[in-house]
Amino acid sequence: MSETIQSGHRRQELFIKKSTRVAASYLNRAKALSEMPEAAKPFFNVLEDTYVKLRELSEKESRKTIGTLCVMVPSELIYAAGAVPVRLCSGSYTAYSIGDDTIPRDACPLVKAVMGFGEIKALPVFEQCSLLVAPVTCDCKKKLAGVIDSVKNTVPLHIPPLKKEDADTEVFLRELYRLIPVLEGATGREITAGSLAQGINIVGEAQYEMSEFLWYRRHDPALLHGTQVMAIMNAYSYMPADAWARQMHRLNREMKSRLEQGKFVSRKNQPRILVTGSPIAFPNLKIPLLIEEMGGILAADETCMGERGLYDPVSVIDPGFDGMMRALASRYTKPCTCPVFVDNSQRVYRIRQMIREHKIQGIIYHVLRGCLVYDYEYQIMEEEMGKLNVPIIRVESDYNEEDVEQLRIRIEAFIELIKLKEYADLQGWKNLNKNKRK
Amino acid sequence: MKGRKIGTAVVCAICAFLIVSAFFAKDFVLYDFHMNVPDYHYAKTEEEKPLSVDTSVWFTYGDGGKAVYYGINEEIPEESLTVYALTQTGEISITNGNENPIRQDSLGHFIAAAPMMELDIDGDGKAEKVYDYARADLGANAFNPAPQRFLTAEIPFELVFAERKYIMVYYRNEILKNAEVLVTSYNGEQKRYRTDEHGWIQGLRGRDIREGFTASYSPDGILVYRMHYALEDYPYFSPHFFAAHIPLGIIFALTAFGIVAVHGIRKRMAGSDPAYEICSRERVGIYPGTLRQKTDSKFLLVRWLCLFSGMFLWTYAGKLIHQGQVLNEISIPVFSCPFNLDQPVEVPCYYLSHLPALFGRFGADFPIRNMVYAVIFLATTLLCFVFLGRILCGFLCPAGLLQDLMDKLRQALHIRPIVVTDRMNRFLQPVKWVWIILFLGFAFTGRDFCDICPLKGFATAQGGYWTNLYLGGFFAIVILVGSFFIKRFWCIICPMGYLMGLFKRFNLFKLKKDCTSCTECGACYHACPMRIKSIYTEREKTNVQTVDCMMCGECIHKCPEDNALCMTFCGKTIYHSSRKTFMSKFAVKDRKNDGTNNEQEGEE
Repeated sequence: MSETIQSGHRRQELFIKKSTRVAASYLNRAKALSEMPEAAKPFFNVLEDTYVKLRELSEKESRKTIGTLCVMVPSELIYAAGAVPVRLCSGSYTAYSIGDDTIPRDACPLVKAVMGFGEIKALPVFEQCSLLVAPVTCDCKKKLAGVIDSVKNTVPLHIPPLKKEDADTEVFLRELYRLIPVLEGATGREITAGSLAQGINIVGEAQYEMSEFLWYRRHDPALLHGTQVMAIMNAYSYMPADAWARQMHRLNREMKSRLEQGKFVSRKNQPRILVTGSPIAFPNLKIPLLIEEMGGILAADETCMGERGLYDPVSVIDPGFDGMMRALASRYTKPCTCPVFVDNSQRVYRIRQMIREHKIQGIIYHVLRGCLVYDYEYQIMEEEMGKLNVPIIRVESDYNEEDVEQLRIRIEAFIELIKLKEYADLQGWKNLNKNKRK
Repeated sequence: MKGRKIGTAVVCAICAFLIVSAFFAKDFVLYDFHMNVPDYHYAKTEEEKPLSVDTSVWFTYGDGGKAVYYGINEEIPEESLTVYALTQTGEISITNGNENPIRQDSLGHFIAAAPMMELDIDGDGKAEKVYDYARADLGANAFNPAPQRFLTAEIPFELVFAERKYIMVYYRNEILKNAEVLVTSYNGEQKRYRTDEHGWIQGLRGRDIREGFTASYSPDGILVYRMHYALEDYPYFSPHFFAAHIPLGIIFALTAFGIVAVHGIRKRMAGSDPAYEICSRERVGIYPGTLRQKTDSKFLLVRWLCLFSGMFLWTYAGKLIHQGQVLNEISIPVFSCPFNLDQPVEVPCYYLSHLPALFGRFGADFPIRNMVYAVIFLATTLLCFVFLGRILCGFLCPAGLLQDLMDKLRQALHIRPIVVTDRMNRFLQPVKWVWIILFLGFAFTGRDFCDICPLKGFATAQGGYWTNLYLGGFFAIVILVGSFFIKRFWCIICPMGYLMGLFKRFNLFKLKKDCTSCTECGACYHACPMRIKSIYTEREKTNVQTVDCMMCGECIHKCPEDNALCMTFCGKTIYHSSRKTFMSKFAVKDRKNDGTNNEQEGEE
């Protein structure tokens, strides 16, 4: 008995040693990119606290924390119940290798990492959660919701696979109503119309700062590195929304002054790249880092750990309790471009919109190994981007560092291709622009 | 599947009930004013002679619209007075002055004739033969657009009120063309007017008609005919005016009752529903909410101002500004009641719902005059239909304002709305079609759409007119209760609105969508009072305006994407969605101090 406990302890120690090292190295690499904004530091500190210093969520009022997994969990409801949501989707390579033992080989690494944390019990932010809300989205998350219940009190949240009909939204609305007593049970505080409105205000504030920030992010040449933006967006998972919004406000001010001073981090002709596909969760920042270390600029991302989670605001039509709930139900399903929905053609439109707004020159389609739903959509994305004459490349990666060199070569080649294409456009070479002529 | 069958059955039952009950509309009486001419009291006046009276005999009204008085100079014996009255059978009843001329079949048109007098009225020393008459038009028929004429040999000179605003002059049963008449105004001033080739006194002021005047005509300088004309008018804040509001009061009282009942039924029906249990924690009552949801929208402000001014225009303005209709020929299609005869402009809903009357009116009586009328009327109606379309619903319709106010009231009271899902909306469509068929075709069965019209009672009461409410009054309650829980409930089934929407292709105002900016968040669809779903599912076309769209701008207001939705006028954008405006409501106002004071420098 004591032997197993001891071996468990040793395992934990090993785990901590390894995982903090990986997290710290990625943090340092992200920080090392040129001209990191002063105001971005607090976000990096939060990530450091969570993954390197292994601290709990710093909370003055000692609010309870509730873990969530996908972007479909309305954090407004959690704030309304007097708790703080923490997004537990993780990119930890070390946790992945632990989860690998319980989760089938072909499942996606993100799920393995979450399960790994559940088993090793070494991430304080994870242990601190009094409840885990697990949306039933893709197959891996669905089974995870069932399996992880053994280590953490979990409530599954059904997401309708269709969303166009009113009846589907109605299903999700019922689901949210069912979630309310569960959240109340976890926090001991009642969700009222007033507190729900407060919750919407809190998240809305973060979304407001985010929308301001996106104005600066669109700027060409770029005002800051996309990898750092990914880190900032990941920090949102481990920060209360109001604190995040406060820091974001400072960052926006710094962006403004940078814009006025003309202080850019990229040159005029540096290829602007968009990353879409499977989530890029901290510390798995290898793709963004590779892009920017290879001379590209990560101008935008269409991933759920990035922009998607905070982009769409809640549009309350009727200010009553039911009205707010309906607004939440439709905000968390209708505009969501997650490929778990049967019909997800709107993702193509969203990416087209982003190409226009962020002046994107190339797309890196990131697929985590085993992430079937995103892999499904690559085909149609490739066709659509062909029509728009925007180069796209599919890169598959796993939660380890073995594939880095291979990825580096591919991404470097892709960036060179974009440069060449731009040059060809400039020179008016026709053979490279065949698609455009069509 | 089962729910669908039940839903279909319910809709069929509602449609059948609508059609059947419409045929017996007059049997469902909500309020009857008994404004029959036989109920009027007839007596000699005890008041002074009004300033407008130049004749030796005159009529006045009183007792809050329930009495007609006659007055006569003291030197003339009452017995010598003769009173003529039009009856339903077309004959003219004749009575002596002191007898009551009101009979069971009286139409409400009376002429009193004094005996011939020898008077020197022009002061040239020679006495003229003076014939004095007084005319009264009272009761429900007084404002009949068609002229009500006596045309008997005993009354050679006759003033007739026609088209709600003209006075026609007849002399010896013929229209008096291009002649000069002397008119004594309501304030005693005398002025000469001419009649045109249709016999209308040109330039006569509306106030003279409303408050009484005397017209005198002398064909040869020896014979002088004078007639005092008094229309039964319903001035503001008279007992009559307040009495006109009684049915409205009943409707609103029953509406309040209905709202409480529906709220109670919903509560009971929700029963074991946990969702409802959580919803009902919200206290019902008027108190401010904490949600940040205010965004400045000049467009919506303009819309509200337009709605209120439209309401004012269609109910009060006519009487306050001009004492009667100002532009009789011009028609603007909104659902306001033409029974309120003081509307400044015409509303086409009466003639659209009485197509036989439309042709009848423009036919026989005055071919030329009515051709002009008909052309202007039809042209303005068509122009509004084609070029403006349903924007009138969103911006001017008083019925729209009424419903918007009901919705605001519900929001203020924190009562849960009924959300119209696309399935419910599908079920409402047959009801709309039944209404359209009744609207256009009911008159051909010899019945009156106005008896089932739910909006008849509102504008008429505000104008001070007495209108009896039948089945329509009960429908009004349904509409009001409905619009309390469902925003713009009536607009979903409004027949005239549908007809106006048919010309959307030619509208000057257009609703456009930039599909590349849309994220399909559905906010526009949920904000739309007409539940137009295509606005958020559309991914190719630019023009997303449908038959139902009434340009209220709610979708644009709630849209969080830049330029995803916009409204254009003649191709020029007048209102577009903006992410900055939308998000700004979440901004914390005093952030500046906050940011500098509590700067959280992380620990290194």
